[in-house]
Amino acid sequence: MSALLEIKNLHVSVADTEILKGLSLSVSAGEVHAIMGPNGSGKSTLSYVLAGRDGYEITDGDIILNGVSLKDMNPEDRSIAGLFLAFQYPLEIPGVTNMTFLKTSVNAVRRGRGEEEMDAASFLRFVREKAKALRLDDDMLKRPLNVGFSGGEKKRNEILQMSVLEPLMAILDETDSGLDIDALKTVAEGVNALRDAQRGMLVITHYQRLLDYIKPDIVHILAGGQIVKTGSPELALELEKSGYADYVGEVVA
Amino acid sequence: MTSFNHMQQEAKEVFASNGWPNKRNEDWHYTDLSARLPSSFQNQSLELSEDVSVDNLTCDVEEALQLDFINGLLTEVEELPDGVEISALIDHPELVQQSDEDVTDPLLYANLAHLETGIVIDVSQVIEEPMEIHFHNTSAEEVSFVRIIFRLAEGASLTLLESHSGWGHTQLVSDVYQHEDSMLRHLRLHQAEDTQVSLLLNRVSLDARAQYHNVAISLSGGLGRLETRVTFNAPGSHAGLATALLSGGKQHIDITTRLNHLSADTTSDTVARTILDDEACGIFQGKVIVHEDAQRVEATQKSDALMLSADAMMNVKPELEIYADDVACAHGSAIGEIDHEALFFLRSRGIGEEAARIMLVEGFVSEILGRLDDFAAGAVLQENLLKRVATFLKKSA
Repeated sequence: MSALLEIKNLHVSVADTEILKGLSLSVSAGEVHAIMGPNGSGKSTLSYVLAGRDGYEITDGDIILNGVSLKDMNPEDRSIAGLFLAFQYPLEIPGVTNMTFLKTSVNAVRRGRGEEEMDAASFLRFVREKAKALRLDDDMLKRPLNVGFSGGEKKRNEILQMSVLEPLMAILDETDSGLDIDALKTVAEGVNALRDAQRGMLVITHYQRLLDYIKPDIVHILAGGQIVKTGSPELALELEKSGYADYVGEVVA
Repeated sequence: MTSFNHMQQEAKEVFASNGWPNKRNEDWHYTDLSARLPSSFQNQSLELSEDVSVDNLTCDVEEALQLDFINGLLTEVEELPDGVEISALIDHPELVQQSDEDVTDPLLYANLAHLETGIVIDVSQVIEEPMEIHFHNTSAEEVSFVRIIFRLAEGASLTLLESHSGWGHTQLVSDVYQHEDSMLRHLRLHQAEDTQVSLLLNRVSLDARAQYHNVAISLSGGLGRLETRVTFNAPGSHAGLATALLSGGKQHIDITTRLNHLSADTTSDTVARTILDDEACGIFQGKVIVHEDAQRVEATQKSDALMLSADAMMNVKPELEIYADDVACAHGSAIGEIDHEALFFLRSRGIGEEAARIMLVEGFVSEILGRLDDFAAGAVLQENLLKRVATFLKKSA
């Protein structure tokens, strides 16, 4: 069976500095992979280049989602193709209500996928149900997008977006950052509820803690712009004890 | 009593010798009219073309009482509701009686010198339905010189929708006298053709607890000056001025406000959002004056501009002149570009680039449109204006 997401020998430069130096990885449908790595290893670059942000130049290699190359696609088309990035720092957009944003987004993606758009009433029912599962109240749907939201609310709102867009492949970029333990549990519950046999997930994190709540099938260690080790979930526990020193040294040498 | 004709004669003489203001006049530093306007106007043709349709240019509120000025002349007036009376300004010379300052005010003497129509609108009670006053010139040769005086009696209230469209040259002076506890909600919609000149001066005088809420939306027009001056005469009076200026092409639009707090315990809040594209030039001059005895005044003023083009230009001149010592006044100003991170965020959610830009810009002006919430027909107005904003943005995208 072929992989859902396949990253092949990916080389990425930002402002002429090479950050990813031949990264390869594949995630099959139904799997959750974790990527752990020290500061500066290229974790954020990986999430941004997957989502298609400007300024991240792919100099070699490819990104294949469900058999289709994302390399030359703009961010909106990647979203339509089934990729979702949960941002480490979700943006605040004054003057645009969360509800308007969600409806515009869902209908843009549905249109792009050749599905029928949702009318206002059915969308409202749909989003309320999803929001309730994440303990986001109606008031937060009426407020401007992420404006005045707490750190936990912003992250839960990211998961809400994921849940309404129903992506094939979700990238979670340091979803644990800025969360207290209760908020972390709520977010993890939301993510776990979205695990299913058709969907892949890539959980990018600094700390092992998140992986206590979102249990990965496979753990990769990213250092110096490459995957330097791939293993079972126990690999994350080892890292927690011994740190990244071994791996960082390996690449430099 | 000086007669109306005498005052007009005086204004003609002042206009003949002073002409339009130029750069040397500090208030006109950024908008030099002498360089841009003819020194005289051929006397206007006063005939109306028969088939003027202006419906799609108005604020488009069905239940509004409609007053149309076509080429400066008031056409049909529908039956007025109880509590609203209209009379000719020429019968009220005392209302035009000019102070020395007025005589040297370029917008006032130019207006009086060329005046075609002057009316007085008296509002004596709470009026539920909005009143729309629409100004339209049918060609580039047409000019409109109009003066309107509004008087709101104690406790009276009105939603006034003022709209401008068409070609040529429009000069409107509106004077608003609000008695105690009166309320005026005033939308000014400026959406004219590229060659149009609009010089709009709006002077408001507030008695105790009078409330004046102004929302000005400028979506186009060649050369425009939208000026609002408010005088706070007694405690409890409040003015809120909110402006959204969207400008493209080679337009030059000047938003000028002057808030004159003569009395203690008065409040004002000014907010301007400007979006400039192409080679447009935008100006925001906001001045707050707090007089010596006007303690406990609260006044805030904020201007934000979003530049969609590197060739556009924004001039901002915020001024506070404070002579009292117990006041809370603040002003702020920012000029920036579309937030690229926000744009990427929206696009990563499947929203196309153009739609994402429009969403961000709509978000930027939504605070201004939100001020229409309490207006009569506020929801309809917001919906109509949002469509026009979207049309502007699609054109500029």
